[in-house]
Amino acid sequence: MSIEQQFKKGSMDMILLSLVNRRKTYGYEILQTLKTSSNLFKNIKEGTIYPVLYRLEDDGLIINNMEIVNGRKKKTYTITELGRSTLNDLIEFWRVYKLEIDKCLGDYNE
Amino acid sequence: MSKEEYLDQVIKSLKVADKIKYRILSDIETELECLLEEGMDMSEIIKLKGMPSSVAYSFNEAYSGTPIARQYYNQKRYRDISVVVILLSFLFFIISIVTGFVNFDSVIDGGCSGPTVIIESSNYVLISAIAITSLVIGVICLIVGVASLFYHNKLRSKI
Repeated sequence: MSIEQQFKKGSMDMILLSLVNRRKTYGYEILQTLKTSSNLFKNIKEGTIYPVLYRLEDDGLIINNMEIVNGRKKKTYTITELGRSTLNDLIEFWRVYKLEIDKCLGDYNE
Repeated sequence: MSKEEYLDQVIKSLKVADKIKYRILSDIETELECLLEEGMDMSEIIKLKGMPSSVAYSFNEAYSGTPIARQYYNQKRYRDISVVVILLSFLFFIISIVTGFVNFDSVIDGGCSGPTVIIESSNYVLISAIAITSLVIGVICLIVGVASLFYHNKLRSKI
């Protein structure tokens, strides 16, 4: 796995949690949002997001519901309270992490 | 290809534990439903998403080397062992039944004036031994097969 892929993988939990936090959503919607919102994820595959969603679900951070919408069976994901507080912690960590990394890279940029 | 056929092929191509298979199935089904709702037909969906095998491949790749993939291979191994051993047990049962009913090569020695003595030939002993041994092996195979099948089902419900 390349360093770039490792970075993407490491941040995927936080990104998916933040997308599920916006509203009740489907895996397909998450996939489309990622593909259209960032060049980093334009080639993202199902096999990348669903295993992370399942892990988040197993950790109690999100829950799934099977719903019938317009006569079609759909699986939706919703964030839990635990998921929301974990997302806050992750975003706080990310802000500090980004600053610290930028500080380290500062000398290199100059 | 219909939606059901597409999902069926995805499931068949997945090399992950059964519990994860059904989670994946419900998500891919939702994706197909969303695309059908947008007005696409199955041939357009296949063009967009790719063949079922390529969808399954992305999951197989993601789970490769994880306990979920190992679980799949263990399940498969125990299922294969169960089938072979249970078939073997039936084979031994058939051997035991056939040899049990075989015409014994007995010899009746004696006359009407004296006591009648029935002398059983050595074939009888040999055939009886085969029948009993086959029966015992058959029972052992059946126990091993059923235990393996039980363990296979236990693995399926794990994770």
